[in-house]
Amino acid sequence: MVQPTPDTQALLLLLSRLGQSRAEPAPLTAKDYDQLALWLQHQGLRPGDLLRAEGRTRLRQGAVRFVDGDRVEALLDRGGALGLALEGWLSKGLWVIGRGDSDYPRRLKQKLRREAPPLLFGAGARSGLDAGGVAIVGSRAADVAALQFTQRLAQRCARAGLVTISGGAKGVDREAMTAAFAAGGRVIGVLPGDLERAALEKTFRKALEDERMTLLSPYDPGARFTVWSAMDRNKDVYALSDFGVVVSSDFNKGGTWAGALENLQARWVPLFVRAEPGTLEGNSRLVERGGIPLKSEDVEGASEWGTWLRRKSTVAGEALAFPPEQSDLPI
Amino acid sequence: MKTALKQEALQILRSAEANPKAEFRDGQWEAIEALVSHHARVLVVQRTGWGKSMVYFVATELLRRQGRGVTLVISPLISLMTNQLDAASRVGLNAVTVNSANMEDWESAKQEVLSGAAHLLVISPEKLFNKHFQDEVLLPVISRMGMVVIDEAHCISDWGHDFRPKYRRIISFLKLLPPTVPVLATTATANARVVEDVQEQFGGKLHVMRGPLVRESLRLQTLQLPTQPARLAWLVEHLGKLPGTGIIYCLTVRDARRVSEWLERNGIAAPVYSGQMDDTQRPVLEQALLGNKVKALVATSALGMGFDKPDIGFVVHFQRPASVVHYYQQVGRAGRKLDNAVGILLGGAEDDEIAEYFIESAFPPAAQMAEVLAALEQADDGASIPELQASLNLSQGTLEKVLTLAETLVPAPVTKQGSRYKRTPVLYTHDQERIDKLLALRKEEQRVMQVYMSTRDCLMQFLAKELGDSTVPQCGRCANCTGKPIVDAQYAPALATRAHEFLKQHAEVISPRKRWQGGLLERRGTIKPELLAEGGRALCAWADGGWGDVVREGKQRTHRFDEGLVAAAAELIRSRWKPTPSPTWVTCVPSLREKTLVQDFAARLATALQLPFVACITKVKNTAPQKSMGNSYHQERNLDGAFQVDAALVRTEPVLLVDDIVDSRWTFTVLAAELREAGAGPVHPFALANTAHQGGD
Ligand SMILES: [Zn+2]
Repeated sequence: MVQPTPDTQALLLLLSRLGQSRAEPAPLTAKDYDQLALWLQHQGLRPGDLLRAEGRTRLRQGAVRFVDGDRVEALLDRGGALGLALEGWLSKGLWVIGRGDSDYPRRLKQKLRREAPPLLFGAGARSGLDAGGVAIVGSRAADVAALQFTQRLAQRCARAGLVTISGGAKGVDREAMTAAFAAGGRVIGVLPGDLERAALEKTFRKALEDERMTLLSPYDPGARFTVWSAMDRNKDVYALSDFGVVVSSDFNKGGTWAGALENLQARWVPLFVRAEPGTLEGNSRLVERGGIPLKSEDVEGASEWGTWLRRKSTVAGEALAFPPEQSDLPI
Repeated sequence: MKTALKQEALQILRSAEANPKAEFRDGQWEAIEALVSHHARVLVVQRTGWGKSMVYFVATELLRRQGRGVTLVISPLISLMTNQLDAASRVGLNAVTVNSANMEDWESAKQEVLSGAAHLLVISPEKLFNKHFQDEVLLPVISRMGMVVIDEAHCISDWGHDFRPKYRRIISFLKLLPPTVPVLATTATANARVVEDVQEQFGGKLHVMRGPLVRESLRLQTLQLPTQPARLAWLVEHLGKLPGTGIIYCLTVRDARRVSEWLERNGIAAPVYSGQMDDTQRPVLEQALLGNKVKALVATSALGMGFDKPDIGFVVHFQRPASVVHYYQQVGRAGRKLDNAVGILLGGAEDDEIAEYFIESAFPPAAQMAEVLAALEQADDGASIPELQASLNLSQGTLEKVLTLAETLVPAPVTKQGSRYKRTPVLYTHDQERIDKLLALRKEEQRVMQVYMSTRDCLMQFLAKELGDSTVPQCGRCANCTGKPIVDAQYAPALATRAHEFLKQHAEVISPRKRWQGGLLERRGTIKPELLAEGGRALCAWADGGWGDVVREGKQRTHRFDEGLVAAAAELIRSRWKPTPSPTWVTCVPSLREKTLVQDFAARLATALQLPFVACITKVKNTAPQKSMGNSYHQERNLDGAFQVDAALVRTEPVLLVDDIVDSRWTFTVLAAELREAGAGPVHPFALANTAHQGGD
């Protein structure tokens, strides 16, 4: 069992509900925490230092200007709850990575910067999270054609050795995940909640045990998913990948639409959009806004799949906008 | 140099003990300082009575003054918890406990902790990991937890014999606490290997403080008396002369019951104490010994951890315990505040066999674990124990053992959600090497105990050395040092003869089953009271040295039960058991394999009892022996449609239902129900021998 680093212990104390339905005092929001993280970096401190007497003193002297110092201290005092919550999670095979840890996926920090989730809870394979891959997303109410397209696409990715990344929702997301691991591929699912329950699902269990799949969530493993968290985790799905594919999207509503638009604006990854007769209105509208059309015959094509996606992105002027190495990545 | 903190600590101690001159005992202050000033993780190995609780009382008070919250005390026994509560209040600290017995107090306890009115929260390891309790009480209150205390910490190590699976999860809980939380682990007995193992499990960050283990007042002796009658006779002859009151330890509940009954019959007040008793009975018995109202408690290892009586005059072992750690833990309860106490270990011929049984049954075989995991993997949404019993031919005991083991591995391949067990994504690998190592270790520990029985060296020195202290000099008090026995080995032969007769008369109680397991189509849920069997009897335990051997002879060799068994059974039923309402007719469980054996015996027994024998049951289906069925579900199912009761022959009065062997009790349960349905009066089951296992504590 891997024990969290002191940095991650501190992050959990500050940000997690630690299994409580109503935590008192309320944990920091990611935004609150980011303020604190900036201050820590400025002071040459790390989150783990807050677990020591000296770090506490510095906090008392310095940070009160922008965060409620008493609240932060009260949160840090929740050591007992942390032990208990972690024991419950880790004993079920779950794990947690903090934004300051060396195995935290770098591309999340590079692309999302200060919006990168401070904590990532996970089940299954813990390594290989930074390998990129193809994000496959789409609406929950997908028709047969959309699901068939999803299936072929996921199989193609698996055969090409590309990781399939998705959101774990019903419909396209799940279809992508099950088809990819059935074809022997690696899969990452970024869940908007309910990680603890999903990790026990018969569908996923074996693939998780064999470490061919990772389920990730930026939220407490016991937290229920909300519309907000579903929206919020879209950026993580894109940021973990090299390419995004929207299989089907409503127009001007729904999480798929919002996430795809967000990606087009932030230019995290080149965005492909399934372009065939009979798709939802959102698909064509996304193409109008810069999405690269993708047809069934493209997916069935003979060329090397990764290369094809890359070449197509370059032609469309959406070459990988991978930011250069940065020394001031957030902690 | 006395620091301000030490001054403050001394003040707390002195007002607690109401003694302005009180000083800390060796090691107490050091432990307190490590906890309070350095938030350290400390393991204190000190004999019972040294004052471990004072360490965390004072530390709690000091931490409280620094603004830290409640101290969480994890303690394995209710009796220990009550002691803690009393002791804390004497020190002016308010301790609350929350356990299954006081659920109605949970809310007020929670409020007390939240408001800061409670300083210590005492709970059991089971409660710590109870989901409902975690959500309702624990999580809200331990947010501000100041310190954790874990009692009987040797249970953490699976090298120790008291290893409890739940403690494995405690260790990972402790390890996952951030460095802001001080941890105190305490134990009275741990050999070097256990300490090392506990330390390793803590990740090496454990500060070990150990004190001397030798008890100056204790005089040790060993005595090899191979037969049970000899040991029973010895007890009656010498127990009265042993100082004060004490404890007699047995290895199994069955032995404890027998020894207790024998002593009581000989006018010695020595009630039995075991883990099979409920939480209300045990404190009453503990009080009886604490108040010296009985000469001794005849106990299994269930009487132990946390039982705190300073003036125990003697600890006698009726059988040999599994290891030196085990033995010293038990014998070390004697003479804490006495000048003279006695520890005598009686060795018997059955010791090796019982030891083997416990060692072999300690670990479920790999195949059983694999079977259970596979069943859970196939299930769509996990499975409950009854569901697993229906699909696997494993006994409930085995199933529970396998599931507990799986559930407490870290990380765990199985998790319990409500009453359902689910397979987690954790890869399970069977560590046969570790199990083999543990088995070899336990055998070695047995060997050391054999050596202890026969050594001519100083017995105290022998134990101390085995516990990791080789600096202890010869004690000068034990039977080997003084060269003469503390208690004589002699006993009156007539007494031994009586003890032998007593053993032959030791009937086994057969309690009726109360629930159907779902193996029979039309039978579900609780058995209706009007269909229940009465409490029954077996003449003896299978092959137990008394009648058991005669039963085996009849069943396996002569195919006719001896006339002596008829007389003994009639005597048991008439003079000792006296079932009420008294049976007015006799019937028996028929068998297709041994057509006449039981019927012949039952008919002769009926004649001896001067009652009519009525063969009203016939076997219509050949069944596999019940012994080969792994669990209740399959045993019950095995009997589905096996018998037919002829209602025309059934009488409406109470009946004696005779069988030769009773094991699962399902045959009696099913036939009692069928006889009642056919119009019979109350059904009293009787068997010649009971083959059901009765191990454990
Ligand atoms: Zn000696």
